[in-house]
Amino acid sequence: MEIFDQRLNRRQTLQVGAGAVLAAYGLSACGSNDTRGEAKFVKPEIDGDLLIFNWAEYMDPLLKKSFSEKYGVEVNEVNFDNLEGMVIKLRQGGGPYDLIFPSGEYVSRLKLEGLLATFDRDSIPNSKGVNPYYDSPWYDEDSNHSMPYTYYTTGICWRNDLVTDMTGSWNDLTNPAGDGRMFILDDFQEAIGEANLLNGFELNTEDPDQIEQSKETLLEQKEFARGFSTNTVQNLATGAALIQQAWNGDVVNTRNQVSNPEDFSYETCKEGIPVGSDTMAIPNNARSPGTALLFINWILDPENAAQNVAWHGYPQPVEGGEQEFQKLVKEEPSIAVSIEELRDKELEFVFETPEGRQLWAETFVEVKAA
Amino acid sequence: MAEAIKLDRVTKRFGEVAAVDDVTLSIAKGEFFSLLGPSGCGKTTTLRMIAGFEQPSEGHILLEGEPVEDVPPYERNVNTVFQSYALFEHLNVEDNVAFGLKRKKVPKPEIAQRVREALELVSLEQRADARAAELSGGQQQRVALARALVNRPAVLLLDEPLGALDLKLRRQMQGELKDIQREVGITFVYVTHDQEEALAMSDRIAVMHDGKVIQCAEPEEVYERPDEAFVAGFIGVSNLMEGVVEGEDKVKLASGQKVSAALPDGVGRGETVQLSIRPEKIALDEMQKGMVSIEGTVEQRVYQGVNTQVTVSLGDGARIVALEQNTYIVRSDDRWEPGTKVKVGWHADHCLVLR
Amino acid sequence: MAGGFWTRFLAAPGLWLLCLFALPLTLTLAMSFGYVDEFGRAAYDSPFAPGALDNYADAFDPIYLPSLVRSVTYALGTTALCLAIGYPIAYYIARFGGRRKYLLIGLLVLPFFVNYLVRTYAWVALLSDEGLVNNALIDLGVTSQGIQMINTPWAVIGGLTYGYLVFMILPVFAALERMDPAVIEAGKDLYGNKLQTFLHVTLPQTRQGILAGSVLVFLPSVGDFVSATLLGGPNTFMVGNLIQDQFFAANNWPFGAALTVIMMIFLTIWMIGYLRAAAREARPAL
Repeated sequence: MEIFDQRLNRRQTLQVGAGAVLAAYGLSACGSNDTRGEAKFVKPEIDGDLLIFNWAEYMDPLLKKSFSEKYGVEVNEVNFDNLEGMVIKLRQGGGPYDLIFPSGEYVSRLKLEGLLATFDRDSIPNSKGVNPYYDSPWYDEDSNHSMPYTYYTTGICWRNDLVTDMTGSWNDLTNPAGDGRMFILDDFQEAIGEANLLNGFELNTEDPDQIEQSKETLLEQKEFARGFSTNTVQNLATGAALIQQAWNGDVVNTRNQVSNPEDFSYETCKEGIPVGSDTMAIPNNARSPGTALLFINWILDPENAAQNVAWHGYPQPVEGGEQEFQKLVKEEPSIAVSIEELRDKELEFVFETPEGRQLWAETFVEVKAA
Repeated sequence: MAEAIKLDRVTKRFGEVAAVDDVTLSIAKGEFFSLLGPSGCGKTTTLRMIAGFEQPSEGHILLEGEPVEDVPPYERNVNTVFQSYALFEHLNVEDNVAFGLKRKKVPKPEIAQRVREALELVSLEQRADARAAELSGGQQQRVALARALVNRPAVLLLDEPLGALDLKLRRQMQGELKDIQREVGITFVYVTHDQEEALAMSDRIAVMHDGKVIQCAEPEEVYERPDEAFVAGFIGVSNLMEGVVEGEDKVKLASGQKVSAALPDGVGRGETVQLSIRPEKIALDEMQKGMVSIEGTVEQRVYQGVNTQVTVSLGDGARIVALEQNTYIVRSDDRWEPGTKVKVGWHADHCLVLR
Repeated sequence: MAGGFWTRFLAAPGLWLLCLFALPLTLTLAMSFGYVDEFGRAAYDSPFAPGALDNYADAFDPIYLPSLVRSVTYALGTTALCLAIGYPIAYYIARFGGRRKYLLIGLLVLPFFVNYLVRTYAWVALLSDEGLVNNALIDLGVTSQGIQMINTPWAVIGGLTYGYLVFMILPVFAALERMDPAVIEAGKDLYGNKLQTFLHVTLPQTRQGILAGSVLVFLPSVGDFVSATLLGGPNTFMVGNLIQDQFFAANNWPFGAALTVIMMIFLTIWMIGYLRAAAREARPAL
């Protein structure tokens, strides 16, 4: 990749001026603490109305209502449709938003940029119910910028009434029974990730040769694909997809929507499955950070968590939420994901370097553009 | 003479309104025939029915003896010169003229030959390559004419073809059109609202009003002996005076004066009639023998160059207009001061009694 | 005083142009020489800095050529379809709409007040495997298990055609309206039957409208990404998708900006071609 080398060279020239920032990034990537800023801690107290910035259809609206009634503040929500767009608005000081829902990877980026408020997790009582795995997640080692919202696995959902010979491997994406009726997630991390795993590489490899090989794998899979799409529920529910790379929560939702839920199976592939977490965090410029922290506590409340999980279909790593999710998936245990899986596999998407991220993103665009 | 067009009791209704109302006409081969009338009189609708753009609601149209009800415009042996010329802007002059021949699949060399002749006929052979938009109004008019004539139709229909031209050019084109018609010998049906144009060019004129043909005759006939008050008023200028029939050849005017006039058949005592006299037929003071004569007062005098228009009041609001030629003998600009008493006279046979 | 009035009168559109056109264009151009910093943020850079033209060099990577070819092909197909569908509609309304023709045009334009995205979603509902069209086909016995229409190039072109059809209808309608109806009669009078008159008179007389409509349909179609995103399949990735992905997925605004600038230059060339053709039409040939 000649172009990529040029880019690297250019970055190197830039590094002279951006040395301090790079150092910070490098330290963080090596596992050290964030040393930026002496921000003061947010206290959980009502300090104004709340403006939430979230994915659409990702939280039971009744929880906003009950919070509003209990604390006597207004709770408003606006939605983003991709994390990049969320970050851009945040950087521009949009809202200002009081509560956002970034993925783990984005927490680490926003934290580095100094865009997140700091709080003491012990100041909110329901943090005690959070699974200990999140005492020190890779993206927020002190657990003082974010609290976990949901976690999920990426696997393959398939129609067991129409497709046979599934082998429990990422190779199943090219099962001839799903030829022309298969979807790959339109998400560069998930797409490159499964190809890496299938090729036996590290999930997060940034080796250009390996990525090139994974690109070839994706191009082969594309021959079987009907499209690149994250509209999993729609693809499955309308019958467009027989095989779909999918997040487990979407499978729960699909099964809730169709008349034949027993026909939808989910498999976690033997080469490994990416697992991920979405979190709740408070932007630095929030108007009502105290109210936001109280709301985080509200979401982590066992009863509320159970109510929320029943509504959006994803597991929440908190007392109440985990139990509710097990109830939801008892008929299809393959959809379930345990915290232990997260701990054991540790297959979360992490980029060592910004160039690596760029390489992944560009490779996926090339796959789609080919 | 053989008949080119026959209209047999043709009526055309648009909704409730009869634009053309029970019209019967016969137009001879080679004739220059005009349809004359004010706008909305039905003359253009009549023309469009002959062309085939409209279908009669009732009655029949025959072209060269054949009924054409079911013949679409593109199969009728007639061509039209449109008021707006309707030239094809995307084609040059030559291709405009060749359009009809190409559709008729005339062999190419013949097309070239005939187009050249047609352009020579209208003196436009120098502008064969020009686009329509580059031509003057008069030139566009000639292209429209050549485009129609080149097809050698049995009948050429012209819808106010000179209406968009200025007066001088119009006079010139009138002459040219007449010459061309004589040269090619094709039947022309010419729609116009300009009575002078119709009088100057036509072999016969049909005067139309409210969808009906009121009079169909040669120009002199229409002018000198109009059938109805409408024709008298529309063709040229006419003095129309209301009166009541008093008895044998006597009419009492609204102003009280009694004049003698030849009554048409069937007009009886006590009936209200219109007396029509052309202004140029009226004498002021200088009476000739046998003239009918009444008294009046000069009200207004308008000098018009070649003649002078004198308005004479007959009392009780009745007026009569006279035209006096300015000849080598007489100049009227120092005569007929307003207020002067004057004798007004005319020959009885120039006074038409109209119902 | 008059000068003051005109200054104020022209200030509003001037400001509008500046804010909504010149400024974003300048920012896009400036961004195209930039780079992505260590936080993934887009940063501006001098066009003379080393590597400032990297983004442009990247854009000409042959790997993106299929997307460009595809975009142009789809846009040409869309233009042809819009003409084939839009011309008869415009013709019918202009010639036979009578007093209701402006009402009819209004009714045609009405759906286009709805956001293009929403309208394209409606097509998803129509064309999907279990959508309205397939259900109707199954009910009519045309097919037993439905036809895959969505996620195909045809669906993308169909979405584009529906999306931009009105841009063809309006200029063609205007051209037909401008046309002297006597010209059509002249065609028939000169022995052209209906088809000949249409081909030799009406069509050439309305070519300005056709040309304008084609440009108005082609330009947004080439840059479109919505139709391919919602109705497309694995092999319908267009230049618009490429640009959109740079901004919202790959997080490479500078490269996206460079692609945008190249796209605009490309479209401007087409536009100039159109303007010259239109000027040639308008200028009398000497």
